[in-house]
Amino acid sequence: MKLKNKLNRMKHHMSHEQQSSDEVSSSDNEDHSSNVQNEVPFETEWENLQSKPLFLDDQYMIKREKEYSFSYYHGNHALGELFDIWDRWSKVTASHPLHPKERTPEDLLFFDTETTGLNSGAGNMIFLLGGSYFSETNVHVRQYFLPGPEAEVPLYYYFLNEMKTSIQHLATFNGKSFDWPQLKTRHTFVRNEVPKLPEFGHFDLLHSSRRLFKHVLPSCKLSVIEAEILEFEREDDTPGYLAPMLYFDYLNEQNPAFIEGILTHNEWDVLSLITLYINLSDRVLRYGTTKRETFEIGRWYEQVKEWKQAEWCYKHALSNRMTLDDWKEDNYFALARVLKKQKRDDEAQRYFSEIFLNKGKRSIEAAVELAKYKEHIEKDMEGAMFYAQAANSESPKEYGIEKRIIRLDDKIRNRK
Amino acid sequence: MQKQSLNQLIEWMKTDETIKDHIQHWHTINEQQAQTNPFPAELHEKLIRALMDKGITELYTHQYSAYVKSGYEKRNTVSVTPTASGKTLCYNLPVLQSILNNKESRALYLFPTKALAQDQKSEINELIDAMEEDIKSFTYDGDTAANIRQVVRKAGHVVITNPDMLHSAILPHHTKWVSLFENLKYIVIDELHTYRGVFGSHVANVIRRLKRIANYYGSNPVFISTSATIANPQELAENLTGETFDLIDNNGAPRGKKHFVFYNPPVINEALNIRKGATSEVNELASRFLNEKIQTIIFARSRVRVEVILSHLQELVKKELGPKSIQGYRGGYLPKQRREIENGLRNGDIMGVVSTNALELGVDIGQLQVCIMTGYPGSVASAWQQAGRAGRRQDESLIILVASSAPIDQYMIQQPEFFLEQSPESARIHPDNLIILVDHIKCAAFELPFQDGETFDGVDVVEILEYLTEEQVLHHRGSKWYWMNDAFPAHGISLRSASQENVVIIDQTDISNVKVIGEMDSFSAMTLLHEKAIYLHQGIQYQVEELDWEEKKAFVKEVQVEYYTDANLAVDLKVLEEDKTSSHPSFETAFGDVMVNAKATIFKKIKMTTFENIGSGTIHLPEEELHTNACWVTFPAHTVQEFGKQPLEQALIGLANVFRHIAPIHVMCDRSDLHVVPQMKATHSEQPTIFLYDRYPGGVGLSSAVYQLLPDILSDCKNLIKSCPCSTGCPSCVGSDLNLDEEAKTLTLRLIHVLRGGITD
Repeated sequence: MKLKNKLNRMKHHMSHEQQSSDEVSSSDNEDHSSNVQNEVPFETEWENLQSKPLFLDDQYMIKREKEYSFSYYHGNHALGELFDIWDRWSKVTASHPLHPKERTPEDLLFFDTETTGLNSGAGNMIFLLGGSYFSETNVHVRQYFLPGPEAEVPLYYYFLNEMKTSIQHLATFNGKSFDWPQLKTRHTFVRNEVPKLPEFGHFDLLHSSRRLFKHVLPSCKLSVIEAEILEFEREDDTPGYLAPMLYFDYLNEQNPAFIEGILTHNEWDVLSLITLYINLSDRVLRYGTTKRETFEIGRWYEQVKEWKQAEWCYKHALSNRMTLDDWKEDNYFALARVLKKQKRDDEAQRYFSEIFLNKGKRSIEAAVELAKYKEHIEKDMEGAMFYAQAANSESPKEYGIEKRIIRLDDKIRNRK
Repeated sequence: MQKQSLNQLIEWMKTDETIKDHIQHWHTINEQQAQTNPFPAELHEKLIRALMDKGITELYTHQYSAYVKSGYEKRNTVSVTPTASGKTLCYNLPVLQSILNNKESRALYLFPTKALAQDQKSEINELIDAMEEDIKSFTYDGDTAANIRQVVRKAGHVVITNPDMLHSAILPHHTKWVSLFENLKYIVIDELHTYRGVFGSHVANVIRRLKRIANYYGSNPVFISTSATIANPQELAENLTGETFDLIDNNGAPRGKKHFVFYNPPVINEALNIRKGATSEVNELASRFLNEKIQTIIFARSRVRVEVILSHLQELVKKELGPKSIQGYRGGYLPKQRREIENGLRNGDIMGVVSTNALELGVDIGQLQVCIMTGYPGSVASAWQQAGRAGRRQDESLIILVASSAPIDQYMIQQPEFFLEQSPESARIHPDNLIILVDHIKCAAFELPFQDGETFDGVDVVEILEYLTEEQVLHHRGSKWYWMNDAFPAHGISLRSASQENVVIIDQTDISNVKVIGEMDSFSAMTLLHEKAIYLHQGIQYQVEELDWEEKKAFVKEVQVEYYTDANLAVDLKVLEEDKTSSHPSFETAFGDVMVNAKATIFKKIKMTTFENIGSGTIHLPEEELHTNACWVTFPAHTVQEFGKQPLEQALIGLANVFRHIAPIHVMCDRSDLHVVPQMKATHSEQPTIFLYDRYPGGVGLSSAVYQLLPDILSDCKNLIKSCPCSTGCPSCVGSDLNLDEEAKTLTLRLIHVLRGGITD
């Protein structure tokens, strides 16, 4: 016991945070420390939560299942609206990051995890893999829960076998940088005992939401989007940041009551992902609900090199030149840019010219574009020089203006 | 005017009246021819061709041995090599050979600093380029861009990093490094001798974790390490890695002629045996060399001394060279500043460097011709390391050791054989320091759950796992101990600093441009960054305006004053547990656990030119509590009676002062790592006692080594006092404390006599 005494004496030199002593006492009872026996503690309570254990050899995980009808309203959208969205996407030939392409609605898994910490290290465990998906009759919510850290093999065994096809088509909220890498990390530990992780396609709805909502919402957290866009109100929600602590309490007590709130929280998350996908798709399919949104959708299309769609959006977001400021000026510029990309330089230079005359924050860039146009297309060196000089007077160091002026100067002189 | 050459300056030192009288000893080390072996028969032809391209036609004997043992026989080796002896081939050859034989092979290189890692990357890449092979070597540190990191993890054959990165970025994310760990053939540990004390004890635990993860992925790598000269390279390598090692010490590299000059500044006060300050002598000597454009490196022991010498020299050579050509180099500088200095030295823009022993490490800074040490660096090993800075690449070089009035300097300069013949010190680590061990058990459990019955590379950890479970950090289920906490343990644990939290130093001279200029461990900050302290950085004086102890921030502002500050630390000691005791007729020694309560009390303002006390102030900082190991010597009542209470008090203070100088040399640590406290009435026994305690919580084996080495230490203490020319005690021996009277020196010797059991030799 001497070492224990020393450890306690040196406690304040140790770097972990200490828990208060009354919390500590609860962890001493180790009578339920093993689940090697085929008996599941609190099995009735689990049943009441629509959950049941699934065994693999002598270990088990807990699977929870719920069903919703297509007509169920989660916020301002019914879940079944997904089918309508699917039909509308199928008529779109242009590519778009939200386009389901050849997938069917049943392929998709709206997916979210709960973990024991927010870091991405090897000691951070996923204790809940939650997903919602469509069948021909219903919307299903499935949650795969880790009843203890020793049960990762059954957890991933059942999750990967049962969700085999749908985890190739995930829709998540920030899953690209959090959930999926973390899933890969955990999978590494059990990779010899469970199926392989598939290659996967991914809709990360956080990225999509930032594109459309960043300019209207104070933040793009899911809870904010639910409140402001999806009109879904969480009643008595257990906030996600409590998940690790509640899970640790559950581990010590084994009573599912501790994590019931987290199960519901996760369930709402994966339902909101469905309505968020519906909502975002609807906006894109309608080319936006406001001029500003139309402009943002144009930028999205431009990013995936769908020039025609981008041009259409930019043109519909146009406003008159009198109010050309902020995003409206960017919209003009973007329009000119996609026209140029399509080698429609004549049309493009009309918009560049508008921006130049507007004397806003992008007028120098426009002048440079106009100088290029005059020099290379119209072969009008004096005209080119005019715009180059105009740009030069503002910011000579940028856009290679100085070099351009020297070159134009040469050309003009040579001609004479 | 023709600049003088190094040879002319050597001649000048030998003949100049003002110099030569103070040269106590002139030691010349002759040049040495190279000793070589032909390339080993099985060495890959591409490697041979690449070496030939670089003009290498044979291997030095030590390179050959390292190749045969580690490359061919797959044994762990530690090569002891002086500076510039081609040590990198000791590991690059076996590693590259293994990759040429099997493209899946991987190697991990550990260097103590980022700068060294950068150096080594260019070196190994030169060899790889010459072979025209697709072998990838990358550095992996805090500066590595996110997009490169992916490539390094998947495809880096040789990953070059530092222990801190391994600890906080690689091991906790080992699942992203599967291809490295599955194929790990070699672990290279360069600059082995730097892994001692607290840092070494941490790194030993990081290596335990590394081995654990490597084993998990099924690999069992060979260790290759290189070290500067220390007494126990093999023991250190074995303690650091928990493996058995073969020692390679047949250095075959050639060496240029070296002049080692022992210079003692003139006495200016005969009665008190006070000599002219080493600093001002160094300033004069250094400016002479610098003005002749001879690249010179000046070493000083403390950060403050570095800054003082730096500002003097910049002033002295301003006309000839310009102030930028002399730079400071020390631990507190930010990495970018340090790298600029290293580059400047290499390309010749910088003529002189004033450095703390940060530059001891093998950073390649090109040729320096002269090395001047301001005072004895404190250990034989580090003196030779610093001396190795001059005369790399077989040129003639000059090393000047300027003695200070410190006892050990005076002892050594009057008996140069002490230095020249003494074997270098041992480097010690204490990986089982409870606090360090617990820290790394946490990290290890985060990386991979512990199994019941699993040891931590041989260390039984059940009690620690149980403790961590009670603390709700781990969770025991089935047969395993799982990490069950939302924290990322490696982030809270620094391998470098004694205490967990460093104080950040913030310059707010320019309110519109507030910037961080350095950091310092919080124990040192109590005495160096208290409010109104003068803090020196790059030769600039700053005054601390505010020290936010809670937030660990010190706000400083540039000032120009004529003084520096010196703070007092009041210490209270309690013995908690006696682990070992030994009784002697007239005293007792013991080793065990103590609790130290330290509080910074007051500070003095000392005038720079005269060392007069020109003012003082109170320091308001909370008491720091420290649980650590100590060794102590107690005198029972009968000894006190025989010796006399008054005289014993004198002798205790005197002996403590000598201990402060001698003990760190024997246990190879910095003076500030081992504190000495004499007490006439110790709290635990009410008897006169001298304590020597480790400054790091839990102890890192320093005081335990003192307990074992006490007879040797006492013998050296005696020699030091005896060899001091003063008559009644001076700062160079028993000290010049105001409480000491004329008898102090004799009394201290008498006490040592008692402690040595009456031995007279």
